[in-house]
Amino acid sequence: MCLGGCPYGFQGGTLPNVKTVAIMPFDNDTPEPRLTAEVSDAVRQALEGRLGLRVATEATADAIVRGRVVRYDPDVPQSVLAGVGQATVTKRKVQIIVDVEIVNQREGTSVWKRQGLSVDGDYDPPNEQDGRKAALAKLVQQIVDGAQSQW
Amino acid sequence: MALAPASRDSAAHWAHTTLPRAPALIRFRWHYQDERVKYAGRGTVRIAPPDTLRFDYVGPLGLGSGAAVIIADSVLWADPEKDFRSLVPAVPMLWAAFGMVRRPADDAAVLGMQLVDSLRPTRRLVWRFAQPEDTLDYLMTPPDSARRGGMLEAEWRQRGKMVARSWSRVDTLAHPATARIDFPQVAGGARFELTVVAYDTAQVFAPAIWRSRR
Repeated sequence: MCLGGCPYGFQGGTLPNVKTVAIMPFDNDTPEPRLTAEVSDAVRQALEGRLGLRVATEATADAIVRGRVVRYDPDVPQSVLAGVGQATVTKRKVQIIVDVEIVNQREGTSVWKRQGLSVDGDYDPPNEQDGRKAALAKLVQQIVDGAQSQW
Repeated sequence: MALAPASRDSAAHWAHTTLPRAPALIRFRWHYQDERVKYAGRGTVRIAPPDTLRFDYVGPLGLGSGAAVIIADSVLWADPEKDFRSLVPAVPMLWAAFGMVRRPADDAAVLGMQLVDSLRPTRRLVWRFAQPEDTLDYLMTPPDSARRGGMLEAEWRQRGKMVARSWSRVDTLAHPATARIDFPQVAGGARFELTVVAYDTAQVFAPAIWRSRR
């Protein structure tokens, strides 16, 4: 019904005038060094796998993606089981806050920018990695949604 | 070339002049190779003068990353520890790679001299910080008024054997530009090279970057 007229939806298109991107390692302001690679990987998934952009070198790419991992909270309590004299946290979540910017290198303009982009993921303690995976999946989705909203 | 005993204070002062005066963030590309592996990637170093440094690196194609915090000559934490140790076997050589020198250790004998070069108006400085087992030699060619960059060469010997040697070019502002560190004792020889792509003094560092999670 809305195939012809919908402004949104999956089209496999790209950002305006951007077909290739270079993903710079994100600055990491957290004590968790692995996030640098994990967030870069999530950004790559969003741009290459979901938005159909090709990853290229910084020298040749139409746009560069850069950003910063601003904050990482690995163990925010979500559910607590009350007991006698103590409470047990039965579910926790990780929260990751990032700044992301896609800059069109050819035009010198910012194509898309989001500061304080916050994502989280629940996990059953102590499986923090599960929470991180869920949070990074949300990050991929938020980048896709955000970038598509600019089209 | 004979080195003469020199003042520890002079050496400490000289070392201090090689450090940035304000917090600095340095972005670089790096390349490591030995006879078994070749890796390349990117990294950042955040320096909070006078003695604190956080080193972040990302491996090839963004695969794998790690970080370490160094205070003076000690590794406060490194994560993953093993990866950092293989990438940076000697902390003073890491400082030297970025054109910076740590002050001599308390138990180090300090020797030094100045070399006058007929081709350049600047004087080159030679320093040796000799501890019972470790000796660090530095040769500094400062940037000069003819808009030429400088060079810091460093050599680390342990029990008389050379462990590492570095050549670090600095630009006319004495900011690091390129560096190469050779490790001849690694089987077949190992080499770490870096090229600085940005030097930023406008960064404000979050307190969390100095903490370790583990």
